[in-house]
Amino acid sequence: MSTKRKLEFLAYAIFIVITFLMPLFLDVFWLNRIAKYLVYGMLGVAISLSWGYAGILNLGQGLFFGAGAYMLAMSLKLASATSLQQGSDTPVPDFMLWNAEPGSLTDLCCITKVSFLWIPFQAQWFGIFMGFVLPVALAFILGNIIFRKRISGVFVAIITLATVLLVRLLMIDFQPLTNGFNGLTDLGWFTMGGIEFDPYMVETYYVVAISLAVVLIATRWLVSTRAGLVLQAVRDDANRARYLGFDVSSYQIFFFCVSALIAGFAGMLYVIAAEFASPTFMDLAFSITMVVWAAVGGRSSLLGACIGAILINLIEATVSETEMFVEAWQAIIGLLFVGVVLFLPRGLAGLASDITDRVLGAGRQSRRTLEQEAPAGE
Amino acid sequence: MEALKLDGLGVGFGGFKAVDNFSMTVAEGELRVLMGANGAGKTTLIDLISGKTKSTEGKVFLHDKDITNWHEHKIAREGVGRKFQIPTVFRELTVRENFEVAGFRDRGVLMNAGPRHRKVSAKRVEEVIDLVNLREKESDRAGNLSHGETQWLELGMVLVQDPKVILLDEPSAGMTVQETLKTSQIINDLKGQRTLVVVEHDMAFVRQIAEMITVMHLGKVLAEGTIQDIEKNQAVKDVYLGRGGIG
Repeated sequence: MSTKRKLEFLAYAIFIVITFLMPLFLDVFWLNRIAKYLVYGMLGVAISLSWGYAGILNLGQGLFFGAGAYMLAMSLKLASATSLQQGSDTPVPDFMLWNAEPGSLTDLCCITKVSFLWIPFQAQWFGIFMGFVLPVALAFILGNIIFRKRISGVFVAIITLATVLLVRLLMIDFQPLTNGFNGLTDLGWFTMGGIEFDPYMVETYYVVAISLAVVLIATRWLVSTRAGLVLQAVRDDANRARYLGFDVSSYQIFFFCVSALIAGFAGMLYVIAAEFASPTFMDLAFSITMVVWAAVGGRSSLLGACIGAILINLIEATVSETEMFVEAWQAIIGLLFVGVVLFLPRGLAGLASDITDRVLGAGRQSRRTLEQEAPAGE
Repeated sequence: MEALKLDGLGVGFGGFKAVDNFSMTVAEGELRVLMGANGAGKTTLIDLISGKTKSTEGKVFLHDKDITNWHEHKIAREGVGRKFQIPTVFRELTVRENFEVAGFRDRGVLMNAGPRHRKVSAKRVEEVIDLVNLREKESDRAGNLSHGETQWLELGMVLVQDPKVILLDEPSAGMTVQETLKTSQIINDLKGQRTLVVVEHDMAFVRQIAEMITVMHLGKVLAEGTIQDIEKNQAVKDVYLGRGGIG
């Protein structure tokens, strides 16, 4: 058991070291790509926490990812010189000029009916702050409704799925506030400590890589606390946990919020690396894709789900860009998913765990069977 | 002193009264067996005490404290432990982890998310692991245990939880003869230390553990007394004889 634990920590360490060494081998174009995949890996961690550890299948994780992304994107939009110089005297984002109320003052306060909401986002720290707060607040409200009413299983999936679609619709509809279907593009660079983080820069890659390492370690620590153990107990049998005195819904809400926090963080990092925020973040397909990543990597392992997300995206990128597979790559990826789900129900991490068990337990197991067979033969 | 007092407790489901004006007093340290035919309302009564079902009339007192219709986890924190008829354990956790969870004294999520790593009433966990004979299986997944072992695991979890009043719903269900004997020993060891309410209709098992028996019929108290009283009781015979006698 403890050997297995050491191996697990070793796996985390190796993974983190590999991500940190990437700049030695790759050019900035590929580093930017890998940075996006690491962001997806962070989403894998969020899914694993809610699905694998809490038993909450959230088909609307994109809601929290999108919320985090838009909050930072609003700040970065207001930091974009080109976007602010579209023919107005005072700086307002380009799309607001196109959506301006007739005869209104060209200023953030009143150019459209809701543009004043953008005013605090002129400070970048406010965008970052809201990028954490909004996803958690949304998760807290949604979680209170779902878990206090003891809704579970497939109904949670349906509610979260419907919520993300609803919010996506609202985002597209509120053109004057969100630039609707086009999303927020032409963003400025994220700036911190005097450094402007050009997405195609090694430093930017490290912002993402270090963030992922911190999230992985912190989440792994969190699930090893007593609260993490109770959470898994709740997943296995909520009633048993209730009759031991645990307020089951407060555990579910807490970890649902942590999962949203991670997804919101990932959303912000994605904006830094990809330079846009779009309602497609809240597409149903994206939220379901995240769940597939976690299923392939192994939802009961944070690291497994993280690696699953990164691997699938790497494979997708390489296969879809190989000339031979240009037509067929989606079929190949689909077959891969079906294969993994059929033959490795606990994903790649489950496979790794089984292999270590077999290697470690081989000696012990053979002794045990000998002991058991001996008395039966007498 | 009375540990548990039910006063005119009742609940109806669509006109049908599953438990009807039920009153019972269990003294501290007493072992009370609750008997009755299928559908007599035994499990519903346990549900009412432990908060799973909300009563429509009457009161439940735990050491003179009114706990009627509280949330399950609040009743549990107040000192009522429950073992289910179908054993419910945390299947993906190890046997030891199951006991550890039962032993956590802080129940709030933020209290448990701190840096203190799995601080538990470790001594109690060790005692109970030996008591329910699961020492050899302590690192096994709970889902891999046999039915009897799962029953003991759940019983052990309730013991680690250390409640004042323990409700056991058919603790010997599905057990072999030896397992049943072992279970009755565990229960007998608890006599005097804990207040127990045991739902059971296996007469052989009841004879091994019983002091006072309450017989339920159609949601009401049919008879109450020692095992000899109950076996002689005409009303009980009338209800049971049609089914081939009480034991």
